[in-house]
Amino acid sequence: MRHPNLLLVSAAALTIAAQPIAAQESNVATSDVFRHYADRVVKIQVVETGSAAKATIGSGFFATPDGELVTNYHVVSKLINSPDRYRAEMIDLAGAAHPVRILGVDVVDDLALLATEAHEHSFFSLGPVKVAQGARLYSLGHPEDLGLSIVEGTYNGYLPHARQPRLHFTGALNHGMSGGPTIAEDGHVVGINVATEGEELSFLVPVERALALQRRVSTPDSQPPATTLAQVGQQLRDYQDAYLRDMFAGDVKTVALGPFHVPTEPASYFRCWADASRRKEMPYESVTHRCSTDDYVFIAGDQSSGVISLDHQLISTKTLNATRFYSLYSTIFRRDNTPGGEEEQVTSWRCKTENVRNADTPMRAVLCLRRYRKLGTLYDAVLKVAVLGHKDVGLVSTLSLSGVTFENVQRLTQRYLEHIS
Amino acid sequence: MSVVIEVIQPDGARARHRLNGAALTLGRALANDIIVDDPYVDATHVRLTPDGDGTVIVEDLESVNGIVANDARRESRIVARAGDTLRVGRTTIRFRDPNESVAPALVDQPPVVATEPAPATVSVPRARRRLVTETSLGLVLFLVVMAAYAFNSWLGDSSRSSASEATSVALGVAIALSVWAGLWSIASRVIVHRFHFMGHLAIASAIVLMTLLWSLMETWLQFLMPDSALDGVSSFVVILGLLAVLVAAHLSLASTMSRRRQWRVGAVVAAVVMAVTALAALTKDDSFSDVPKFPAVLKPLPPRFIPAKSISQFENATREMKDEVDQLAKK
Repeated sequence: MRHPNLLLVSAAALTIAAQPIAAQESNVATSDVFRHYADRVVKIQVVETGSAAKATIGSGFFATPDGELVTNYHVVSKLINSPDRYRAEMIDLAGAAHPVRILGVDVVDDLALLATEAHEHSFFSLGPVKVAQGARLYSLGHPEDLGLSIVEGTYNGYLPHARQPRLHFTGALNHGMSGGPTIAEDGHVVGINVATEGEELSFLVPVERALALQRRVSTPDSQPPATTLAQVGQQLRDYQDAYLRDMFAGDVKTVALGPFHVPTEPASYFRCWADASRRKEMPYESVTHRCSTDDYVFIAGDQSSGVISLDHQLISTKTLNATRFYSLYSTIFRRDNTPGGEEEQVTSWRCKTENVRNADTPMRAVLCLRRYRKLGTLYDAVLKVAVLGHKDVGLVSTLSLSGVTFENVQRLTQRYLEHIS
Repeated sequence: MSVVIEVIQPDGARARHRLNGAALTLGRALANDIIVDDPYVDATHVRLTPDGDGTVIVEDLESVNGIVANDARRESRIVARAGDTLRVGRTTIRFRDPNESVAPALVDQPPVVATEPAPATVSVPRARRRLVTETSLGLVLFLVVMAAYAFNSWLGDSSRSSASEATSVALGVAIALSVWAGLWSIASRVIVHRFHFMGHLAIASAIVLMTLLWSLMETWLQFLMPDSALDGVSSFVVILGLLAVLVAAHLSLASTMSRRRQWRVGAVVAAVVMAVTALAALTKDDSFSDVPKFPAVLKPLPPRFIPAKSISQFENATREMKDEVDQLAKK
């Protein structure tokens, strides 16, 4: 699955009040917006302590008078995952570096709240905001470390299907603008820059999520976690529990694929596609049916989490004999499409293979599992199934789960196996 | 009382002579009474004199390698009797009692067409017939292996180029087998003065064919008993056995070692090769990989013949895997 690119190397800032911003002809020049709010946006960089070299660059903005900064979790993820190897600093408009420390994170919404020693700084006060589709917005940040820049674009509402709220911003966000604010011309923050798919298709975290994080951190009785990593692990566990509760709950929806019936659209936030291929040079035909979620949670480096997908491939032949067909079937079954990973973050895979039979269908089932090293009891799992017993038609079906507890792995794989026939 | 001696040359050729009173000489020169084709034997190596009471006096005629008796000591004169064995050069002389009983003759099938004259091969000398057997066996096995590999490749390849792919696999196997048999036959020529190319080819082909059959059987085992510990072990044992047989069989053609020694060398070579392989596999297994390794063997079998577990049995089995992964995370 293709994920939008995170805007790592980023920053920008402005404030908002709970007033509707109309889709109207603007009277304000972009240069005025920039002049007015530029001093509230900073560059945030994570530095490798050994070499003192920059590891990542992003953007951030002041959100309180006593110097609290909002940025993306992914901007400071290296520091969170390896606090002994990295430190973070904020570079102000004048170019001076100031140390920052992490106050709290929301890994699911990709937000982090940082503390600085800058006091009585101008800031964007965060608050709920209503924006009409088509309203002009301005995004601020440090694209490619080229200095503070402003990008004009339009607001296009919430993404459908996504369980994590994300705003669709039509504007050219670039790497380095991550964590910067996207504001209305009156200075209300609408969202926080987070990702882009290029061609002006960009995404923001709604300002309400930053507000929630700010409130959570400032609650006097909030228990600070032992480490930020432990907090990230707990957030991921809570998230997957809530997220997966609806999956395969109640009646499992199935779809017919050749002579088989397979689970489809396990919950409302899944999107499904199908495709068929028949080429002359191939002695077989193939139909694919795939469902996946749009939501994913960035954790560190190559590791992301929260992606759930179902992949069914029907293979049939009219020309191959059973032995040759099964040799092809085995090859297709063997194809590896598991997500990559780094040794620092995840363990190696372990797999269990069995011939399994549900009510009446014999299957070859392989469950592979690996665990997250730093985030407690979270696992990635891949269940691969091939339906057996037919001479000229077969079905390879894959359920991929990432960042889930073992209880959820068992519940979901069991439901999945029960509903293949 | 006469004595029969049996002369066994290094290439396996065997001849028997009756000693009836007169002394005989044995050597490589054509003037001898018993002529042997062994480069370690002198032109005239020993004199054999029967002394009437069933014993034979064996005298060394100042040969280079002398006479080696049962106890492996070199002697210049030996009194031998039925049951004794001597070695001159690399030729073995066994003394036998003419009154030894022999097994009854086997019944041969009469030829189907009775009017045909007896086939000419009947009169072919023994050594020549052996050669024919070695050659035809080598050729047949070699062709069978090529065909088997080509067929196996065709079965495993569903693309349009499967026929040409199968041909190139068969050719690859043919070249590898020929080179292997060639190297062994060079060794044979050096050690026992005969190439035995077809013999070596027959041995290599037979072992390669068995390896292919085993690998096919193994995929079925993997399919019927997935994740079985037996799977790895049985494979290890079979490959070890085949390797030992391969080396021992080649040595039987390419050396004058005793059968027991051939087997011992075969077993040692096989053990060393497998130990190195196992060591390499062990060190490799430990490293991190972000690609899961799963045996994916699917076989066309009617549903009722497929041994399968229930979903809950499968789910229970995966708990062990979870514990293993949890252990990995602690490292």
